[in-house]
Amino acid sequence: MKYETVIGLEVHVELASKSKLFCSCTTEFGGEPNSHCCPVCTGMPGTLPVFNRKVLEFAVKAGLALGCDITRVFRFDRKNYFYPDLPKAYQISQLYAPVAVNGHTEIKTADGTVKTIRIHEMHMEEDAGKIIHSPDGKTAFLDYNRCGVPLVEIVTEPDFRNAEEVNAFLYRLRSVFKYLGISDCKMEEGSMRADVNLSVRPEGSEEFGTRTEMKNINSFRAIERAIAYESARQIKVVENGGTIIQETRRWDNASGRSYAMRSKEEAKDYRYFPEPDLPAFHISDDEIKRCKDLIPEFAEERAERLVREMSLPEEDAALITASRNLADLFEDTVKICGAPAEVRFWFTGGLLSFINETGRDPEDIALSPEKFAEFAGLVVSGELKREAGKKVFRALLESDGELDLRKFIKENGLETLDDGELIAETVRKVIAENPKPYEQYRNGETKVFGFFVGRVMKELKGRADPAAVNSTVRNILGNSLEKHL
Amino acid sequence: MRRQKALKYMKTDRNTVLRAAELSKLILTEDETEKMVTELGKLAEIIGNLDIGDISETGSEAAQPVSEAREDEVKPSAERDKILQNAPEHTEEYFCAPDTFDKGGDE
Repeated sequence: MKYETVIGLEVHVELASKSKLFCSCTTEFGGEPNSHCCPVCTGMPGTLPVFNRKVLEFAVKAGLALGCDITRVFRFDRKNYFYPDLPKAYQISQLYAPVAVNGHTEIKTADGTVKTIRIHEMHMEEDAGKIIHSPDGKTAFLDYNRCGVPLVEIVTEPDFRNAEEVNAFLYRLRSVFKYLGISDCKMEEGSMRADVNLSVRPEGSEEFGTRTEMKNINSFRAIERAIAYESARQIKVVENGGTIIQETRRWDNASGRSYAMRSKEEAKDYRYFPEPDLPAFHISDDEIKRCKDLIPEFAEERAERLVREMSLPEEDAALITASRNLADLFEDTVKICGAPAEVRFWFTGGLLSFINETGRDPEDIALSPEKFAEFAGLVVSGELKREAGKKVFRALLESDGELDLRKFIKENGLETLDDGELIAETVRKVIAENPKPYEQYRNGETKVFGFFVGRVMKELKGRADPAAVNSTVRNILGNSLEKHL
Repeated sequence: MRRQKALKYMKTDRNTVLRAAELSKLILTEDETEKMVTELGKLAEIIGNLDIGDISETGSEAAQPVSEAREDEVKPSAERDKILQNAPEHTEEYFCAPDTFDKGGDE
């Protein structure tokens, strides 16, 4: 029998507010253990939470971007569980009136299929601390720096059928949140974490099978592996006449297996109740409108527009729009200098390879569109040849966009050369210095022609017009050949 | 609504008491369990009386919503050695607690 896998996701995303959800401690990642803590986030008696306005703005933007209805009067609820990572013994979360509900977003898989994923709800909650287990297993060392860092949890409907769709959704989510500037969504640092709810059923069946939940899978690759493993495990159980137990499982990436953590019978009873320390909050129409106005055009739509308006190849458009900062830089530069092809040339070749080589965060590239346009203008006007321009552009990027272009070009003698006599002189010099290839050429091995052109260009630091060098080399070599004959 | 329903239909039998004890991390003797079934049963009855009145118009939805929120500003955290003093056990850097085998948490 053929089986179908059915998957729903719960995704936790840390929001990039400066301070925590209910106190003014910093949300910065890392730091000395317990150095970002105060009586509120360590759950001292008598303290009271005060809601961070910025978190609401971020959550509303996220909700709107995911096509959700925003809950006009929302509340917080207490989720009680007893574990050392939670000093209050409860987490302030949302159950009864989450901030955003009933959303949807579109994903596109590699073969171009577009699919709508429904969002059940998105709620705000505080993150828990970090536990370091002592080697003898007796003591838990607790670092509460992460305690109280704001999170949103996005709960989808069971609309995914394979790992590719799941990852397409997570990439989309990451891109949208980064464009909104509300999270860095770094799976490896735990600022984006996914729990996978998975069940299997015979193909064509309408009923859902019993699902398991896999927790804390922390990379896109691990998600693929965990889904493949868990589907295969469940299908095997069903085919052998067994029943799936509803349970929480922990994915162990090292062994490539998932392990049962707790079954439904032992499932935690969270005894949710409305948080008495926080009043209900009201979101006004104005606030929602203000957030709506701040929602940018997202990566995929932007890429489609660049393909349409500037006839960029799809691949280039996707690369350029992967980061909002780079996409802004590209479009603003084109607007100033009006030469999309030239800007694209330096963007995809020069800038993106610079980012790859140096491992710089695309969001931190400080080059201004004015400076980039000035550079592109020099090349378009012919003052600078592309070959010589490579050195200039690299220096420009390394200086974080601070380089004085004309000064640098002058000091390094990189300005375009249209001195025909100098080119000819250089060609003659290169021929004289390379008797062997010259000999080969004379014997009819015309493929060494390119060697001479390359040498001359190098000698002239890429400043000369390649066409001029080409014809000069051809002339001089041809003449010498005739003389020889 | 969900809460009111839960109250109405909750019976304080032996299983309820044992479940509540488990959630409260308490170990009850047989005598204590019996006593709790009686006493909590009476308490639940009193609370159940709340159902007599119509309270559908009360609760936080009906209350005037207040949007008191603070600006997103970082203020200095507590000094670490002072905050650590609030726990019965700590090192120079960490709070300490007995470890558990159920590696749950991290919800």
